[in-house]
Amino acid sequence: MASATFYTRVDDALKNKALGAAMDSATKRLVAGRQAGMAAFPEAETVRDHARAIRAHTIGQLGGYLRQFEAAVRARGGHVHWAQTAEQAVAIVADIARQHDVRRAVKSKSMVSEEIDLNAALARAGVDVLETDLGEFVVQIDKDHPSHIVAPIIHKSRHDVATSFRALGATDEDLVDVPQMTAFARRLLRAGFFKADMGISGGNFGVAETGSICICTNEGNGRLTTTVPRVHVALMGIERLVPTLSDLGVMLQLLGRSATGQKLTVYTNIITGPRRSGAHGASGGERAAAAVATDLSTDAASGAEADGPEHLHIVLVDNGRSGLLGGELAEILYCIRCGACLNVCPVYQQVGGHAYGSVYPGPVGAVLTPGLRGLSGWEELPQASSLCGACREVCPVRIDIPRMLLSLRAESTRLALTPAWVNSGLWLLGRLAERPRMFRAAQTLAARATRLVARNGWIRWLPGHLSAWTRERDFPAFASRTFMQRWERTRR
Amino acid sequence: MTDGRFDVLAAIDRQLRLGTLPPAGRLEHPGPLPVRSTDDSGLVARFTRELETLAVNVHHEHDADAAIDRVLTLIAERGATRVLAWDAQWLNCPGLAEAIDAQGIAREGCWLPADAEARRARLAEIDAVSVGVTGALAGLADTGSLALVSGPGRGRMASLLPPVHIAVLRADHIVASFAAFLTAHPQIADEGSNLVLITGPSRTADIEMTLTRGVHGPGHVHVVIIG
Repeated sequence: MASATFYTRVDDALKNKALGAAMDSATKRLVAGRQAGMAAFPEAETVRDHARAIRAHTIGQLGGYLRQFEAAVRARGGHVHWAQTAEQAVAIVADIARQHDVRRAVKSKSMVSEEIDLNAALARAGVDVLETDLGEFVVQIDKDHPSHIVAPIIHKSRHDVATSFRALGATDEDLVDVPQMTAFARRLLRAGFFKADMGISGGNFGVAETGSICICTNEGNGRLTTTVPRVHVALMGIERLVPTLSDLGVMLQLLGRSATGQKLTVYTNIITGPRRSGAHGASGGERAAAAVATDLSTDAASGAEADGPEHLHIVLVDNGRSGLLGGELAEILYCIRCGACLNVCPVYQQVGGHAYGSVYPGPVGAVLTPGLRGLSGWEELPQASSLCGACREVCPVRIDIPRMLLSLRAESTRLALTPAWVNSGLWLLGRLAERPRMFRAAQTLAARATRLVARNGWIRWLPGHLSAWTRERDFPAFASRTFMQRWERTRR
Repeated sequence: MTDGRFDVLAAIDRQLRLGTLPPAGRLEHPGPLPVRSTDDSGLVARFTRELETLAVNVHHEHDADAAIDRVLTLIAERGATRVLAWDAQWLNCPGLAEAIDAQGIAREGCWLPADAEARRARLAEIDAVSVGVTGALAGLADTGSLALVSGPGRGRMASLLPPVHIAVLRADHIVASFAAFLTAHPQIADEGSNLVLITGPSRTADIEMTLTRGVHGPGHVHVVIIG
């Protein structure tokens, strides 16, 4: 999406009263949920420090941990694929689908899949993808985009959802209340699960030591996606690793609490390889995978696991992340995608997720998007912040988002992405500030000029670029005496 | 298929070598989180309290016979003629499987064939089953979670497909936390390909933040604690 329309999108969002009300109530609830969750967690500060140290350590040794993770997944009979770009990632998934003769896939929520625009690519490859997270399902019906990383349809009302469901054949009875609407979606999606040959999931964490991936959901679609279809494909950013299961336990103490206030998400699903066959189940590696694929008896006494996917493919997606390592923005890779920084951000609360125009909205998105995609085209995002620091305050791993927003702003000035008139204005101010007499003369001039156009001390309209200010608010006339003049007078 | 393994790893190693933030190799792993000294005497009570907060139905039973009665009652309340169940040896309750059979209730296993068509047929067959009966490897007191591990005769679907999930747990398998669970089961990743921590009934708040239970997984969870 073009950044030229960033301000238009913000304007549209601010004029949308329904959106404003929905955002207001949703973010308030999420903020209160987190606060209550943290208040009932006396060790919170220690655990946050610890989690930050684990993330910093892992990112600092990322190459080693990725190699360890890959070897552990393979030892369990899973496959690991590496994608340097979004194009490569979607090509890999399309290839897996072809290889396993997949026509229909179900998907549980994955931000990486949004990032690489997977659904469109799979559709081109002849694979139907059904979104199964309730919110993402609605997004898919409406051909919309998620506006929050954990609550995708935070911007929609129940009436919006009812309209979407009606188009799918919902009756009045199905739409009387939210539980009925949910039951309607459950029926439709359950049929989708049973038809699917492939399940696509994200991965909240990967565990280097065991080759496990952890998928956290409340609805259970993450479990169905990774249990029912023959093939499971998990998409993960390369930075999602933790060294051990015990480190995973530390992260889990923070993820649910930071996202919604829950101590744990309802289903914390830890997957280590595909379904295991009997004879080599515990340690057979590739042999086990081969046995599962070719020689499954229907007798549970064979010693094979009862259910689960025959094949597991994990796709590690770089797509710009490695470029952040070792730089000013490396810290954003510590993020565990809880969404807490979105909920507390006064800008996000006002404009919602879509105004950002990026897959990742809010404070984390304002750093991550220019970080992954480059500043050009996204230079407004780091400006969409009051630098109040609320995001840093709530971040479970204490990421210093305001520091990185400032560094991105500085970078956009260096790259001359800041509009020329702002730069020449700042240059002029700099020249004046170095010359006290000229500065005083300019002050006097400005005071007189502004009082000429002001009514009752306020200016309603300014020309040219300055009109951007007066479109939204009035500008005060300069006082008749400067601060220095008044200071001199009081001292006497 | 083009795979970016070489390029991605080369880029990571190069960036970390050149960069200063965070310094490669200099940030030590902080070690395990110090374990709170917990009083293990109140574990069952704490576990129960958490479950109740999560709207899970908790049933305390003194012995296997009482637990069997309880499970049969819960199945009968639902009017179920079939249950999706783990094999007898994993139910934590000797005699439970036989008692279910004696009631004329069909015990379906979770077996899924590898072949696509056979798999679909099997799923269609068990979709209408309204109750799942499982054991549980452990209960986590501080979060009110059930730990279930997959394996032969212990399918994932029994705690996932039916709208009602009944889990039978031994009181002495309740531990303080996930950390304590890992200490008790250090090789858990070897035990099965899927470890799931179930913390309450399936829920969503996607539509107007209205809490709704049973969206994909069971909307009703019963934990029968023996001992």
